[in-house]
Amino acid sequence: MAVSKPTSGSTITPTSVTDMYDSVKDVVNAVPVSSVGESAFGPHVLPSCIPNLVGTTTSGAVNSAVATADAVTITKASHNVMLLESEGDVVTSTPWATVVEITKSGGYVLPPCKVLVMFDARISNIVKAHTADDQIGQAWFSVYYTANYGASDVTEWETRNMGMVFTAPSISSDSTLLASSTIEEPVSCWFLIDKSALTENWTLVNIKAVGAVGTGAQALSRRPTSVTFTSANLSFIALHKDS
Amino acid sequence: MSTYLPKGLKSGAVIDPDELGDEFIRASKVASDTTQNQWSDASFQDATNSKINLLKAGTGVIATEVSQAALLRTGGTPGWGNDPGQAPDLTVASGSAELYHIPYNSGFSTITGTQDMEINWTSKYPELVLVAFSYQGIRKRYTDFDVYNSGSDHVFPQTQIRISLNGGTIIGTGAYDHPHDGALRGQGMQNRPVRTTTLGMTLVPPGSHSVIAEAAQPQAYGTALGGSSAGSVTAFDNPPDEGVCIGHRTLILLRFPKGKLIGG
Repeated sequence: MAVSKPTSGSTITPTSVTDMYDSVKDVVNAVPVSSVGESAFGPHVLPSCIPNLVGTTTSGAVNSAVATADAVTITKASHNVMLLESEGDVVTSTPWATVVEITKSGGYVLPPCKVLVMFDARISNIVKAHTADDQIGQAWFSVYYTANYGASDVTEWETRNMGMVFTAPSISSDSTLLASSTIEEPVSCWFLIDKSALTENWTLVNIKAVGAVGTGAQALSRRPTSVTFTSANLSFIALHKDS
Repeated sequence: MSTYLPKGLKSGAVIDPDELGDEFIRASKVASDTTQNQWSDASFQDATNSKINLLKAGTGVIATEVSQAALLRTGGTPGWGNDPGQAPDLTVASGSAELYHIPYNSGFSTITGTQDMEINWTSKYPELVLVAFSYQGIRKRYTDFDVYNSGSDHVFPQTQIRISLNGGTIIGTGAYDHPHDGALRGQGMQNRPVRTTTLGMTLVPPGSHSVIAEAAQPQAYGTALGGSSAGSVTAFDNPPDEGVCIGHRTLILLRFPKGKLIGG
């Protein structure tokens, strides 16, 4: 904004000085707080990257972990002969076993925002006792969430958030015993949930990481018996919607 | 930081309207070119809760992602291998069309598909960026790649991954390495399956930027040549330019703008 100043050679009057003061005052008083809040980034603004849970002063950032001592072993009871990944396999018809979950009564009420989900874990072993052939065992996992947009809960599942690792058999010299079922394979899946287009608050009911023993088409007696997840970590951080 | 240092009017001097006006013009410029960092620390925080931003419930953090699902599915052949884990169909002909087959020995290239793993943006201000690439890697068994005319089936492809920012690697993303002392091993991942996330953080100046998830295969090695596991394979019956793949994949970009000039 230009300052209205007296021209050179003119007489300086109280009015001309007052006009200049007012010009500067208008500039200072017109600093738009919205542009600071939307686009600025500094130590004092950083905490606002993460919105509070609606109606609280609690930041929308939550973590749930499984320590090694509480390792989750998924047995054959939840195995799946998977020929193709599908929501039906994971969520609906044959429930998998939960590895780690973020949930609370009433869910997490959030404003329209984006949510970064991070799942990291270690799959320690895939146990397969029978070694009559060289079939291998698989460890599958899938990360999905349940949301509520004001009506009933909605399960939001995406194929892209699945993962699989497997082990080749490590057969001892007599070909009857496995030398080891240990794989110690780290796995990870990160993704964004984009709810920035919503106009109302929404509820993140839960986020689940589930796992299963993948068996393939092996004879029942030869299928792997269990998969063990250790040190699993599931987190989400809500981020205010983009400016 | 701009500072406002008025010269003031000297006693007995003649007041020049231009000089007097400049005092106010400088004051106006200081106010117009202020960033939030020139405000007193905690100026915009709620006195009872530092996490509440009194200015606006907004943020400069911009989150973007691109992703592509690519099913690991069976080839449908009865018997062993009739499942996506045991023997996933990693052929161009009948496997998922969204599998990205990493070109062999051709350097890094963009992981493409219906949705390429690339994000472009333009910023007016310097930014701190966090980039994460979460993906499923999978390849055929080593016995599925044949060394030319050797009668042996021991070829070990390696998968290399990196996140490229404006043509250069974001330091710390991977896995990949350059060959040391001519050794072929250790340049990438030899795993058949891998499901992992690699990420890096860096600063970018104002301007147009591109972040890309890239994959490569360095030269494979095999045991057919003199029995050495580090032997170089120079010709194939079945080269690993098909069947070393990237499956499900997501590229995430978080941008943290460093500030913005505010004007009246």
